[in-house]
Amino acid sequence: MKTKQIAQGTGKKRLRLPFKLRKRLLALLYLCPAAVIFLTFMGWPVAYSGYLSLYSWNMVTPNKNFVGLKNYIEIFKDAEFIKALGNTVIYVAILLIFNFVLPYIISFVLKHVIKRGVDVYRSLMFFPSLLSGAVAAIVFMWLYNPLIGPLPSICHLFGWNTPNILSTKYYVIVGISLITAWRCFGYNMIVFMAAVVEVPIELIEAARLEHASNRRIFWSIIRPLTSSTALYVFIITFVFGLSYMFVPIKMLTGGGPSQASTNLIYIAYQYGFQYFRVGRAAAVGIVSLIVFMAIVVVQKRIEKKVHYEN
Amino acid sequence: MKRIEKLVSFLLAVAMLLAMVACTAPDVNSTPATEAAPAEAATPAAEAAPAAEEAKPEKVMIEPVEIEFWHALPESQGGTLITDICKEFSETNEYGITVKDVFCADFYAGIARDLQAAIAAGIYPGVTMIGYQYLNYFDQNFPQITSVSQLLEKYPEENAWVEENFTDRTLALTKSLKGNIVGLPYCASQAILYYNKDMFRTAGLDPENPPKTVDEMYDAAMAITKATGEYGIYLGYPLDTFVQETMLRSNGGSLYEMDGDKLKVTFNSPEGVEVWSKFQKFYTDKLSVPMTFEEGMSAFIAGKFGMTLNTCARINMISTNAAFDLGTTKFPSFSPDKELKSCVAGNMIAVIAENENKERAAWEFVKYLFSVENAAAIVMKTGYVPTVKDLESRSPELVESFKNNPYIQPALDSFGTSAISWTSWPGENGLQVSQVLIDMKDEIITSDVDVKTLLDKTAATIEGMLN
Repeated sequence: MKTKQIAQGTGKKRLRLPFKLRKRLLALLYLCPAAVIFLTFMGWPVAYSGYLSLYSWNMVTPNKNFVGLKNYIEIFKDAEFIKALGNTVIYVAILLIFNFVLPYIISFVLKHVIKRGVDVYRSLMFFPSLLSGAVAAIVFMWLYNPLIGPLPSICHLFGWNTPNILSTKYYVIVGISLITAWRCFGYNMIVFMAAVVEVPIELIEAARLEHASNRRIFWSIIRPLTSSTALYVFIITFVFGLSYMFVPIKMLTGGGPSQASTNLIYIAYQYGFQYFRVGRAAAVGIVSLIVFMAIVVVQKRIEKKVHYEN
Repeated sequence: MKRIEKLVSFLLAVAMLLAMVACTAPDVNSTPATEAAPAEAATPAAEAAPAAEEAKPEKVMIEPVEIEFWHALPESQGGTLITDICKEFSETNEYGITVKDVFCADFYAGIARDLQAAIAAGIYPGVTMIGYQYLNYFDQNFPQITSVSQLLEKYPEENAWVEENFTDRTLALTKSLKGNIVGLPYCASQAILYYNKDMFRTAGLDPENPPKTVDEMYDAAMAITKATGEYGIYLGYPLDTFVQETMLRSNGGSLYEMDGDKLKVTFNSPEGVEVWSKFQKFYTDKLSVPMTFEEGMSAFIAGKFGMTLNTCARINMISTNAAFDLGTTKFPSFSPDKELKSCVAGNMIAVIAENENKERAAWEFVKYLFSVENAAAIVMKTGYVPTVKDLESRSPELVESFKNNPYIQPALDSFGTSAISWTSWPGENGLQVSQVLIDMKDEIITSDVDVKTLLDKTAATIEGMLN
């Protein structure tokens, strides 16, 4: 009412949006730069992949043939794709052990259990994160070499027969996972350490006075108070881990032997850039997206139980 | 309030999408645009041509232009020579053509992948290497390539140069199912048997009398394994079926036959079952072990295998690094009464240009690449065998080089008498078929699966994919 009177008094009609609306519009405006980048580099490729998944095309011929949902139907009939899906689950399970559970525990050990040489251990464990995927793959190729590599030589000293890791089904997934785990471990551990350091020391000391074991301290104090960080590391273990898998698979096994080391990301690459079947590659990409979306839904559910300090 | 918020968000999203569509639409269907380019670009060349003919009828007019040569040879395998050839051509050619060499990692699969992405973006390199195994796929699916057959039709005066430098036999390596000569055969390799003479001696074998048949190779591998405790042989090439196809063809089999338009898979014939069963026996009897290519090569060089069937293109690398007495011999024939038929691996050179001027420039570079000096240089630098007609009699340096390289002779003999084209699968699924065969091979060497059953199953899968 007052606004209206002032406007009439000056002889000008000024439209003033309600405060809440202005606030919301301002928020949207601030979001625009990020939204533009997100839509350009994430939204648009996803939408275009969805479009391409309905066509049969090799990227070089002028015409794309509309095939509807045929690409989706065919990939689910394809034993190779089913194998890739199964392998992806195994890869994720291994990564969760080496890149989530282990760094979580070790970050606690380094902060609250070990007293000497913490900086040395931390640096040594973080070092592999600085190497590129290609370098890591070559290092492990030499380590794994069943005839001249150091790993088999050590095993022979104990009279053990070492399997041919990169050319044997089942072992190859563990071998490839270890390369990625070795690279990602240090980063995840540093992130966990940052969270563990934030846990009030009084709580730990009080627990120690009550003769609580380290296991109890970790489970009842550290774990609940670092759950938000744990959730973040849980998600990046999936996302980064699976994409980091690509380089060692490409360089060392090509998805073999007999597709035993392939996964959803590598098979999408094979369809797109090895077989030139872009429609199928896009269909695999969309199915992978749906799988990851399911994980995000799980994350949202877990998030309700997570402790955020502020 | 919420409705306005939703409306603004929606409008933003629509605006973004429209902007994207506007920006990317020409790229999506880049081919028609680039197909139009030759006509536009052809005009100046076409106009210039009659004028040139009046002055100097035999001289080709090419405007100064920059083209690229995409190749797959790493520095250790002739890559530096390619750089030098491009540089030298750029400095000496009379047309002002500049050629930039571009190395594509991951060998011929890498070139195919990079070409696909480049063409989708409307980029045409000018000259490219293509692996022989991609012959039919490229002929049927890459209309952007100007085949040698098309070039010779357009420029009939070039027929003389081709006839002078290539035989029908070598040109057959690049002739597709449709009958097009897609490119010119550049690097050609043969699989040969490398063997460790020291291990032969330890096993009581005669190093000057290496195995001549697959059975003899098996016996030698068994003797080496028993005497040294090391594996008898590394049967290389985990990422293709080059070695197995040579055995199959030497046993009178084939991968497929065409019955009119219909393709019939034939590798599950009795000859095929015999070859794959014998191949499996090397693994089930612990005379060989499945390994990646790099692992296998390192182990052979370290003296952990008695023999390896491998490409002659690695002669320089293996002979330089092996610390033992190395020997080479021809790929063993399948049995004494059957002739060796040795598949040729390597690459051809093809022209892929978006206009006539670039096309002519590319062809000039191709001719330079195949000049006696340059063709001989790549052979001497790598271990590939010559594809240019009578190259040995035209290049004294090459003859001298062969005299000093005892390891290459089996490859030269094999190429001269037993070379056949490496099977290239046709159709839009042709490249996936190669992977299906690799998976089948993995299954055979890593398990005791029944060969006949697996071959039949794989043959049915492939026929389903191709017909």
